[in-house]
Amino acid sequence: MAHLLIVDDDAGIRTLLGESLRARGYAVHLAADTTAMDSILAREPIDLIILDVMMPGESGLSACRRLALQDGPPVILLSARGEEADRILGMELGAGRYLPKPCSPHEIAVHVQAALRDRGHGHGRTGDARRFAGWRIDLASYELLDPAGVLTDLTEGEFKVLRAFVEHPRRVLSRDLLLDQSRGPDSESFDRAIDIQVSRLRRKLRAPGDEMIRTVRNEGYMFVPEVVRI
Amino acid sequence: MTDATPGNRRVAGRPLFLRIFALLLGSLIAVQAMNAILVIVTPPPAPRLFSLDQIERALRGGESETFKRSEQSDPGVEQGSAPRERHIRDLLAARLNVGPDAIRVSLRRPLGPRRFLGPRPISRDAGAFEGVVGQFTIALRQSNKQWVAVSPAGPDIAFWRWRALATLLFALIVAAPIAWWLSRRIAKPIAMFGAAAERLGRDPNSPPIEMSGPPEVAEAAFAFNEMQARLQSYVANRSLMLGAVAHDLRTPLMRIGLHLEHAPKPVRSAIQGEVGEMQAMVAAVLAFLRDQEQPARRQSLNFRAIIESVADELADEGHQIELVEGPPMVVEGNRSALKSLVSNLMRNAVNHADGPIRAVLGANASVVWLEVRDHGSGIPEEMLERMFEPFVRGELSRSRQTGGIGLGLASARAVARGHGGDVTLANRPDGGLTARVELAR
Repeated sequence: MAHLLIVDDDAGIRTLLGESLRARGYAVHLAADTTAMDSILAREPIDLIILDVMMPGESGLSACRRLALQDGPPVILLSARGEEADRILGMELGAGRYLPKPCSPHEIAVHVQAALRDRGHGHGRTGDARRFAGWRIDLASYELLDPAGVLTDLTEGEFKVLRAFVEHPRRVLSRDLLLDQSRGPDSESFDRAIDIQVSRLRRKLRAPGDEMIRTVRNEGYMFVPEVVRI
Repeated sequence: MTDATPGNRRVAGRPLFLRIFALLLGSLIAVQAMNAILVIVTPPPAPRLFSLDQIERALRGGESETFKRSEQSDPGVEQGSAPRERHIRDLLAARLNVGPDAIRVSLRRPLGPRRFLGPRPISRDAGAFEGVVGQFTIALRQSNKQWVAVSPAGPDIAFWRWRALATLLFALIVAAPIAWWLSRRIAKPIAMFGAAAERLGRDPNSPPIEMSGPPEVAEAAFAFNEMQARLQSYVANRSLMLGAVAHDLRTPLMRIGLHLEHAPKPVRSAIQGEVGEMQAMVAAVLAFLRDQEQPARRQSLNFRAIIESVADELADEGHQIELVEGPPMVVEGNRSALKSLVSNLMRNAVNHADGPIRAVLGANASVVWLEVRDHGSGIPEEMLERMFEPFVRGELSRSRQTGGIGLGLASARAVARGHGGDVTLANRPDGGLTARVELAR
């Protein structure tokens, strides 16, 4: 049974969310601030922390950075601010996932599941960037820069497909595998055929043909350029 | 707060009133000096007093330095009709021993009052002297039927007057540009205030005006900046309050969601719908407030990629969007702010239009522009500009599902202006609405 720690200063959310996750079969610990969080971390084997950003005392973001430096358990940030700048900052500080408040118990459960599954994969850690064919992708901040250094916006679906490609370059990836990689817990928004994501990605990368993402008949796709970790 | 503190005031130069005072005094002195120079340097008008003896000698052939003398077949002048002219003719006729018809006397009439300035004979009563003052021409018929005409040589008094007029004209031509320049300098701060007020009207966060110049101007600039700072803090307080309310609603909304877990399904889905709507409103208010602020992080980004992302998201939701592919359009900007701008405009278009919408992207030397064209019913002309005011919606009957809460266009315009551009709406002659964004390159 996975051990979760919910850190939120709002007693209502803390207990209600705790009950909801307990009902889904997790062992849940509760903390009202980061001091309580630290003492629970010292005595319990916590697998995942759900951390509120805005709290009296030490903020969630600062605790998140501290945990990342200590190689602590993965973190899902929960923020009432819900803005993209916050999300990027949270990701850069080491939070694997970021959920805006308010979010439904179902969404949280899906993210918890995914985060536990991802453990150790190291998705989205600070400074995790790759270079290919002059382009640069930062896996933490969702940023893709073209060879001229111009930011090229990606949708979440496109980003996840591209991430799958740069993590497995020069290998044929099946549509199923790509779909699995790109399908996040909030899958409804981009539950589309993978072919469409790939063709959109080709357009964004300004490589409309096979020069960057090659179609392998009956098998899937292969990412052609050499990928360098930086 | 701006840096409009008294310590920062830069007071350069003397007070404005002293400057104007000095300017007036200076020009007065300059004009008087010029007159003085004119009087001292230029020769005074030659003495224009001629005795009848002199005139008589001249008619006989002497006094060639004082008079111009010419001989011709006709007198060249008519006898003047004035009593003085007849009087002089008679005197000269008597002296020269000829009949009055052999002499013609013409005294030039001056411009001014004759009494003071005109050539006139000096009266016999005034003394032993008899003569003429001023310009004249006197002709004498000689025995050979030729006429001899004499008139004073050298510049006459009229020439001297013309020269005074020319000097004045010259002074005007020299002084006009200087006066122009000085007046412009004095008026400049007033124009600066006008521009600053105009700027403030459009953007409350416009930079404070520079407080240099004479003390009065610096004083006024200081007061203006103070006013702007107070306005800004007033707006900021309002925004903060609105933001705090919207923000604090999120926690109870989330609690409601958590409570609902155990509610029966029909109740749950009904309340979830309501909660979703409230959530959307809170998000809209917070996004609006965020867009009012200048986005902190700017980087060069491909505007086309953002439009493609938004268009693809809408296409995934089942909307039809025409977007032509093209080269990257690079602007300096904030990704999430620009994405919300494009999303606002495109969602407006798909929500209010029947059929596909069209996005056209272009650029010229100074801006990158995007036009989102729909085929809806458009907006009455008089409403076009009002659409950008917060909480104003196009149609009163519009449901919240399509209309949001009326912050989308206000947000979009704030973002565009923050990026050195603007958003405008226009009805097309062929029907439908065009929303146009321009962003500085």
